[in-house]
Amino acid sequence: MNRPSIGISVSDYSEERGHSPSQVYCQVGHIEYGGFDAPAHDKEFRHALECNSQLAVGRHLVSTELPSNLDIRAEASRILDDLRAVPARYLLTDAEYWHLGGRSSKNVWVRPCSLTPEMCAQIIGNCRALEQEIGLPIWVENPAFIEVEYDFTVSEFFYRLAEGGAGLCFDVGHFLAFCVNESLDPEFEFSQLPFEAIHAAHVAGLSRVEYMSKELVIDNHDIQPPADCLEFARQLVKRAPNLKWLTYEAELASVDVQIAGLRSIMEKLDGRTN
Amino acid sequence: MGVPTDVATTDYYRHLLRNPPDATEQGAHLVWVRLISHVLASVEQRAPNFALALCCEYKDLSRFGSYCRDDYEQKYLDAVPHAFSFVRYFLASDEANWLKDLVRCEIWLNRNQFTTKLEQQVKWRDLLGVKSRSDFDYILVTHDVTVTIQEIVGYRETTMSRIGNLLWLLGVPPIRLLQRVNSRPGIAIFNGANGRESLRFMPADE
Repeated sequence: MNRPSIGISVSDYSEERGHSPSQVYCQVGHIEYGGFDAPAHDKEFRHALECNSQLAVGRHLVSTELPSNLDIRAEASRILDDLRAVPARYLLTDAEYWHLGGRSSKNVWVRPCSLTPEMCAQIIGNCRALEQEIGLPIWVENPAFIEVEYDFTVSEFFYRLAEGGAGLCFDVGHFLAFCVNESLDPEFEFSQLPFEAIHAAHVAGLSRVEYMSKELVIDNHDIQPPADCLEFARQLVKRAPNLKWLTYEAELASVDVQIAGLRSIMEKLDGRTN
Repeated sequence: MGVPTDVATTDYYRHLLRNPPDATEQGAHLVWVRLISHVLASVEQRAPNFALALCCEYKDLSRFGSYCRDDYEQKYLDAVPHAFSFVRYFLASDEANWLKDLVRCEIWLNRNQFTTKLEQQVKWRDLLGVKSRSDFDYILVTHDVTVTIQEIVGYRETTMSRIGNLLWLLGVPPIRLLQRVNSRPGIAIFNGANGRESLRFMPADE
């Protein structure tokens, strides 16, 4: 099996957290920038490339409304402006980022995403049109907050997107959380994925919470990935022939957690842990 | 004003602490709740992640009952902050070791934010079991407390606990973190540089 590039997520620089050290950026093959500011303007993004000039770059878009009626040329122009002077290799986004009342970072908000055939069609059309304008692939990620209609599951949603020609980013944590919270069998759902269409993947931490006496699972970018996330990531690498980028989403985590999380992913993929 | 030396046996405050009222006695219960709220606020000010984890574990206000019966009154006599009294009680109790690690480390990490008085810091140092080497302080712990803090911070960011603190007035049930920690003895090391205190964990087996 060909191991994908292992990367780490980067978000808007904050004085409070400070920079991650070169120790983090020198052990990864790429960074995936998901900040609200344009990457070239962000201190942490620039710092990462100063630490390791060989890093490949992916851009996690955080305000493109893929399921919406986009003005494609205006949207492409905005994305290209955001990417100015940044050699991005790919773009991706999930369908839950929207903006309201303006296009600045202050207007970006997250809303649950409905999985419907109509939504699939809209996303596929927007991705194709934007890819043509921009000249880079735009992959669709399964979102964290989802509302299911028409008996769709995440794997069916992905399957339909792939059928329509969209490339995909598989977020292992979002997928596992959805399966646990909806009482679905993760192994079965996983087996139904359109593996050939998956080009990128995300791995992150998950926390268990209790709400109204029910145990639920939510994303947590501050901690190491749990064992079940790592195992699904390993299986994904084996089964997805076009998977080139696997990103550890830990932009909020401490440096110790970032390093330990990256190590656990690499050891899992290299077969050094069960 | 002098330091109190005794509480009258007939005092209502003493009676209330030693006999926490049932919730059906709404008036008395509210008085008791307000006493507890001072304790919780004092602890939260010094150790916000511990306070959150504690509430997720306790799930019920009545868990503060034994502190009230055994130590609250002594706090009044000792004239120490609520947080000091509660932490003293908590560390001597049979509560989970990971929570004790958390409160010891978090309070020492934040000490300069809530008191710069040397005398008070010495009291905290003794209570928390902080040890020193030439260039750093450390605490013996039973697990990697930095990971626990990260998980709680992440939970605050990804649930409504940080941004939705009015929801309880609307009857919304709490979202509790179900923390699971792996036992791993080691030391929590404190370093101060550029006015910023940092914490790292070194396992005993490395």
